[in-house]
Amino acid sequence: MTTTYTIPHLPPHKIYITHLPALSSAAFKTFQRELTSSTSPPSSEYAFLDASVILSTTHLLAAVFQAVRNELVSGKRRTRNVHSEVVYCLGGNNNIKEAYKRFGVTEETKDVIVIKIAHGSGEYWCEREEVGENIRRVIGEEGVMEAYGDGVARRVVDVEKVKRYYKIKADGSQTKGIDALGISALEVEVLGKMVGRVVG
Amino acid sequence: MSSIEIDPQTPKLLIKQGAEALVYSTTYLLPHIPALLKHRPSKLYRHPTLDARLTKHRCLSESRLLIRARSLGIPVPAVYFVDESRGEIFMEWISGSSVREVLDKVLAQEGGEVVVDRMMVKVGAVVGALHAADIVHGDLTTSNIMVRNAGGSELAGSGEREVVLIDFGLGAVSTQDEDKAVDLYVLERAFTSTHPKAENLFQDVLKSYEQSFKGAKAVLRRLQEVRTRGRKRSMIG
Repeated sequence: MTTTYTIPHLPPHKIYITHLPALSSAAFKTFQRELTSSTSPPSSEYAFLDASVILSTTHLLAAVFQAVRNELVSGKRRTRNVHSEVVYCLGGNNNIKEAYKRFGVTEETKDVIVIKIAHGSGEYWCEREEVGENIRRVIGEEGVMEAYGDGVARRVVDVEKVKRYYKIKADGSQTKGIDALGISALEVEVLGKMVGRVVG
Repeated sequence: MSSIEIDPQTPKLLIKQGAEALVYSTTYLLPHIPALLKHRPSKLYRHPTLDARLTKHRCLSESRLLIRARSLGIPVPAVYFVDESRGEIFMEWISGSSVREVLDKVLAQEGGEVVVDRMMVKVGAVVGALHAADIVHGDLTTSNIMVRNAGGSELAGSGEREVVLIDFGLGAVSTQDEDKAVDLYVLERAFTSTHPKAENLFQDVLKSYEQSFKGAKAVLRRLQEVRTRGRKRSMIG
């Protein structure tokens, strides 16, 4: 199951998010090979994230939003493509390697979030069916695909790890503990850390 | 830096226009997250290179102050996203009304002063906290201080609602008593010029300010001096 999102304040685009609760290491190796191969076309570009460090859909989309915004200004993107930029943007600092270690998929990852961003035209654009088929091709018939949403996020997230990664102290001050409209206090803090790199 | 046009179809509603920025009410990421978008459009009369640099600098300095203030527990809107090359800041939507609006409404009634007494104490404490962190607001008027809607009772409860400082576009980091005193002076003028009845209320603000941090007394002494000469420093000597 793949969920489609469209974020306001961006040019026409589609974001496809899929949750793979049990990605086999063989399947991941195939993905990895396609992702890192210099000859692979843009259609095989994906972002793979460790679901245990993603708080919510809001957290995820904030990274995607920032990545696409970077893509739109020439010379601002720091990594290979808009998909890898998503992982980098989650990091909240200038350390690309660190961001991959924390938010990317490793040997220990159990729950994986796959993101495909369709934008522009030609081979940068794709439809939901193609994304589904593409993932299915690699994970095989028995592989499980699930829709990703806040329900799944709550089930698989390791809140303590997220707090540690973003250096959020347990004893937040008074204002920090207040929820904003439509967004929880912790999400607000995480979003603040993610813009921290830009602002310095 | 060249950049691609953003889809103009995104729903946003212009709510305020200043000399430098346009402020929109919109949503961020998902339809259930209301947000405020502050956009500094490019000025065609400036050289493009200079324009880009100024926009970027102002955008970053404003978000930096907001983030710094919030991390110190001072009530300001949370920053959601900054696009400094486009001059856009997405921030938390504060639902409520400005202190100015509240005062206009309350002071029109008999004995309204008592109702806003608690609010004045809060304003003093918040401004004190800001100055204790060595941040000066730069344009501290009653319109730039908001009172959060807690939902429920409108006027009677205005004393208990949270006070939030907004618009740090002219803010700066400064340790100088002079700058802090000017902040208070601007606020005093905002009080007295729009609400003749509010002069006494401002005394409550100062009283609460005095107790909020260690350097407050020195700032208040400086305020006396600023009052006699106005916001601008004397250019003699």
